[in-house]
Amino acid sequence: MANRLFLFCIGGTGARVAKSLAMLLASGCRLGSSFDTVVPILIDPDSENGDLNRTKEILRLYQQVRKRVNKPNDFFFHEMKSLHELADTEAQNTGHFTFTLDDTLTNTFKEFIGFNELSEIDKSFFRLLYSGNNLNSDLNIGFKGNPNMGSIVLDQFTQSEDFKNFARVFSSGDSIFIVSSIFGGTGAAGFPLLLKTLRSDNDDIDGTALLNNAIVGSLVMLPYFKVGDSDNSEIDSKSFEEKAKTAIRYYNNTLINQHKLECIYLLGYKGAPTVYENHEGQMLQKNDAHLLEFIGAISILDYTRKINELDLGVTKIKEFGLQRETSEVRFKDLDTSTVQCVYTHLVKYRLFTSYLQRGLNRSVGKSRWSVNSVLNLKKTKLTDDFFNSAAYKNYIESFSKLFDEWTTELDRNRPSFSPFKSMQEIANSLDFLADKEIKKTTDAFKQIDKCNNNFIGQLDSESEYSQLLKLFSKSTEAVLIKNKLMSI
Amino acid sequence: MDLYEGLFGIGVARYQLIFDHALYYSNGYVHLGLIFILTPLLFTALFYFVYTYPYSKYWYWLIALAVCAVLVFAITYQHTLNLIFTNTHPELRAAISDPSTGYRNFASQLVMQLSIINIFLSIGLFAIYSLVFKQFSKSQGHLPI
Repeated sequence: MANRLFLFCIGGTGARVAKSLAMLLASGCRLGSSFDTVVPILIDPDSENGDLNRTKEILRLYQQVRKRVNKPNDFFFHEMKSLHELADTEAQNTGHFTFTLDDTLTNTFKEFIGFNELSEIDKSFFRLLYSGNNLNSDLNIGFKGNPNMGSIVLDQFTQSEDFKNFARVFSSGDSIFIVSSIFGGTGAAGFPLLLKTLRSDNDDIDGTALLNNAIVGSLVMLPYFKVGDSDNSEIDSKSFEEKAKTAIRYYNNTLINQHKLECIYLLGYKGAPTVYENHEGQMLQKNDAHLLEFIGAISILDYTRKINELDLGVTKIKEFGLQRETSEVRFKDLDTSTVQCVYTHLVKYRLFTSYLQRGLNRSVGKSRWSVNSVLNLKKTKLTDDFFNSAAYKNYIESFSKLFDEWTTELDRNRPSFSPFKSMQEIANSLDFLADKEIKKTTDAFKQIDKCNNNFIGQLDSESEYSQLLKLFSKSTEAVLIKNKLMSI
Repeated sequence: MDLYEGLFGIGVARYQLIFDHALYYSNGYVHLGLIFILTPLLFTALFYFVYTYPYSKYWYWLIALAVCAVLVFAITYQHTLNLIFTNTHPELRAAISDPSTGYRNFASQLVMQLSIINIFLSIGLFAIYSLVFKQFSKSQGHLPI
């Protein structure tokens, strides 16, 4: 039986790693063979957070495309489900990936802890632990880098209906992976609390025995970016490293040494050159995709692929290193196993999205694969009507634009991940890989159209979405093989 | 023979020497038939199975048809001309050499008539071949319509 990966993504960094994972899965990257479904669960009190909402939109689009494809063999291979879907098969709101946190939407931290109802002695004690800014802080913009606030607000997992649902649907063989940052507020506080809840014996919750014996992995992001100085923000990146050290010490004593989890991936970038604008949260917190989030997503793939090597109660610690230190990372700077994991898929998908943006107009209604004529026995469903339909534009086209946006963001961030060149002329569309020098001008899109013509007849019984994704999976692969671009 | 003389009515008893010796006994009709059958067959096969340009429109098919028709005309014209004017039968040669018989003029008109007939026949076959081949063609299966 195929199993599910429950992916808890805590805070803004967790959401951005989930975004990178969605892109990898869309391109056809595979989880370990025993997994067929990913269940992303985004935990962030900052419900208006730009990164969170962008990730939710990407996950929703992924789901919309995936459910229209019958037995995909490459692009969008894995299913993505929300906890709400699993808990209630009648649930209509399938795009809802967030974990509901009670009393965080309208309350200040002071109201959340019932500060005004406390005795004067308790109030004084709280004032020792929390600043005036902390106490008056609105919880709907997160914890603004204060894990001491997060550890109070997030200590509600066991009472949460979503957690009870999660425990109820969790089955033997399913696994849990937690993504969080160590240098902020939400992730740093949420990760140990969530792990504590997963490993606690709580008779009130069904399924805790299974959770106690589940293999749990995690990705902990060490500081990998800075934020600019701002008088209007409580977040100060000068404190990131010190907070990270303190948190690591705590994790080491309470999580790693006590073997509360089976695998922990640590990722960071000392002396991070990336400086984001300093926004405490909400819509303005919308950071570009980053190389380390991409590598973080790869660590999730690695975890599922090597889960059989993990033993319950034995913690493995993993780190990631580049082959060569550089500010412009390309495929050749990644190690062989990482390249094998993602190269072909990303390159194929990139060629596909480039084609959709630049090559499609030339062929729709003209190439055999997109035209049905009067007496043809084998029909294509990829006609003008399909490419003009709202569903195509809203799902496939939107997702491919988001994929290109993601690669552009990775490219402009520092250190950059720049495996692709900016789009060339159509006549030279094969020249899109930064690692490869294409000496002869080659129209890859024309080659794709020729391959599409060859393959469309094999897919005439499929739905239009299945036809599209399976057709381009085959044709992009054929073009890459023909031009010897399937490996670095 | 029936096709050309019967269906298209090109046979004229007065110039029987041409029909007997240039077209019938020297297998001229067979040659003419092969020209209008095989030329469009070759063209449609090339168009549907060898030509893989992925952005062809209906007028690409029309161009192929036109080129095929021109070629059929040229081959038929040249071949019929050879069959009649280089024929070695003594009576036919004598008749063509003597302008008073009218053979030379008739032969020239006949060459043109046969070429035009072959054009129409090849166009018809080109269309029929197209309907069959398009079912199996990967690149041009959507053409002509």
